[in-house]
Amino acid sequence: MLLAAIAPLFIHTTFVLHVMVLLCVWVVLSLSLNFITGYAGQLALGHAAFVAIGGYTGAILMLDYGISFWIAILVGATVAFASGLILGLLAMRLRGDYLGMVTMGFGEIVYLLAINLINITRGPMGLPGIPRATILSYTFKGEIPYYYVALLLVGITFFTIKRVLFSRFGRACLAMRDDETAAEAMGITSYRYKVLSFCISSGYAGLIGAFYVSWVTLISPDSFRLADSIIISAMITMGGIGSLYGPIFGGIAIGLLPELLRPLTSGPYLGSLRLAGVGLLMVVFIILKPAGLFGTDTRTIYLSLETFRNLFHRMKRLPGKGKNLA
Amino acid sequence: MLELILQQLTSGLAIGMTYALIAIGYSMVYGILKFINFGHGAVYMVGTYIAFFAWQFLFQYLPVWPSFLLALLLSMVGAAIFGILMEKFAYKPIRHRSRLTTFMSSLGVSFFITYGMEFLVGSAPRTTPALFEGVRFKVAGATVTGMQIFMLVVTVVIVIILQWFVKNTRTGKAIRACSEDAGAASLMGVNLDHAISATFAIGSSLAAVAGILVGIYYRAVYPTMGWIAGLKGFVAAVTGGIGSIPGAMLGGLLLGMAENLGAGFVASGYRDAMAFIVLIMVLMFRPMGIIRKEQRSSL
Repeated sequence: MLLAAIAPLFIHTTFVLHVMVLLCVWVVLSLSLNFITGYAGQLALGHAAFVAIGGYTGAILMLDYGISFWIAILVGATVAFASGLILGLLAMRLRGDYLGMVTMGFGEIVYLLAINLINITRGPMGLPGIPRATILSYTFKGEIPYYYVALLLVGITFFTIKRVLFSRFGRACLAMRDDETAAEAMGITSYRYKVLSFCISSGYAGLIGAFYVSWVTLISPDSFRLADSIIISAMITMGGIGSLYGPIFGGIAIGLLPELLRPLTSGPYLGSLRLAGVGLLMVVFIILKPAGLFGTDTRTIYLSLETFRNLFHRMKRLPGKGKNLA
Repeated sequence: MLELILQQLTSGLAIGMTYALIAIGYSMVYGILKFINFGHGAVYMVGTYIAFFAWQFLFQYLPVWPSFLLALLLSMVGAAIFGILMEKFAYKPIRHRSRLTTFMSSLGVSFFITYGMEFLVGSAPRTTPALFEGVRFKVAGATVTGMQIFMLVVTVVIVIILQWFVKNTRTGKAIRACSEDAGAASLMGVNLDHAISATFAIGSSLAAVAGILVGIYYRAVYPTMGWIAGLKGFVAAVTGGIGSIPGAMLGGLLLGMAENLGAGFVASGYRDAMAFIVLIMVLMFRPMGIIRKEQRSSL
């Protein structure tokens, strides 16, 4: 983390910084998808749709209403959260692969809406010229300020998700994932937890979507396709579905894939080769290493969390008011 | 007004037939392995490309029809082999794991094949030769093209042959036994691996037929054609009742018509969205589909 924070001091190439911001975006997306797929155990394949919803909301607010970047990303996240609620209420009754297909269908519907609602989104032409972020009358220039904001968003996503996982809500989600019937018997209304975790996951996607459009200053429907949703799934598969650090690694590794393949080919073929590579990685990992590189065992997460919690409690008890804690 | 509805329904009927052919592949695989084979759309695309290249090659030596039929046959065989190989490499090693794992694997496979193909042949659409050029009939005010009738006839013939095959032949009976209870069937001496391979071979060759029909109908073949077609085939299979062949037929028909009515009366840009709205509706109100195959809902 520290290394990532001081990296811009040594890196001056705009291209490298650009790739680093992009990696941050991918990492936030894979962390948030991991929340619904990894912790709540529900396969969602329409993540890019929520990025698009957040992105369009942010873009329209910033362009047409002149609202500041910081409020726009929050509103983007809220709108994505709300659309996650609508889809979640409808779809979370379904199980497994059916849920995957419906969320994928939702992604296609959002894409078609973005193409066809020309008076709002300008269709395939997209919305160009989205203003860059400002902070106290300083307008963001170049990649470095965006890099720090992206890094901040990665940090916020990571620590909030970790915090939620550690709460009653997170434990309920994990219990539901491991055995839904047993969890129901323990008094966990699984439907409610599924819908809420889907909303949370979508909210992060909306947040990063609004960030993304301000960073590239352009939004068009083609930025958020079905393929992008599946790339995010491949990231968490590679890192380990349900692991804490896996999605970070998977996001970086697959996010770097186009740069790694660049010497081999060029032009439009790069995109095809990259997606083919993503597919191949996904199959290979599922067959040979289904737990991903970081494993899916939640016990390791809990062990790490448990030490923190004990430490925390001990620190609180030190002044001698342990009674109040219970 | 009535003529417009009739017109939309006839073109929906024709395209719905190809959805039915794709849906049969989903349905049969779901029946036997209980997972959604997302790679089916990719097989459809590969079958279409085999037919396209074979036809292009044979067209230099033979007239239209013999070269078309030969290319069709070649692509059916090619797609069948492709489907069997896909099962052997990507699904067989993880057969004992959860069906969600297999679904994820099939997603990866379809990604790999689709974009691998795009890498090899480029993403630009290619134009196919035409069949029945200029053949048109007027039926009750609606225009029907020769190609539409051809699609309808081919599909109906194939489904009748398939129904007979599944009901009467030894392999067909093995497939049915395995989809009813794979464990019991293998205890009775049915070779599960053979039955699964046969299922994939049949489903894939039907997808290839659907692909070449769609390719000629829209006069375009491109690598990502399998995405939406595969999704629509899945919707058709679910609508009709997954696991049932007549259900797949009915689902394809209904989806094709619903889509064309939606495109004609709402907005043509939302044609593809219609399929997913149908999917969400069906899964909410009648999750077992129109023709109920399994007693327990598969959801």
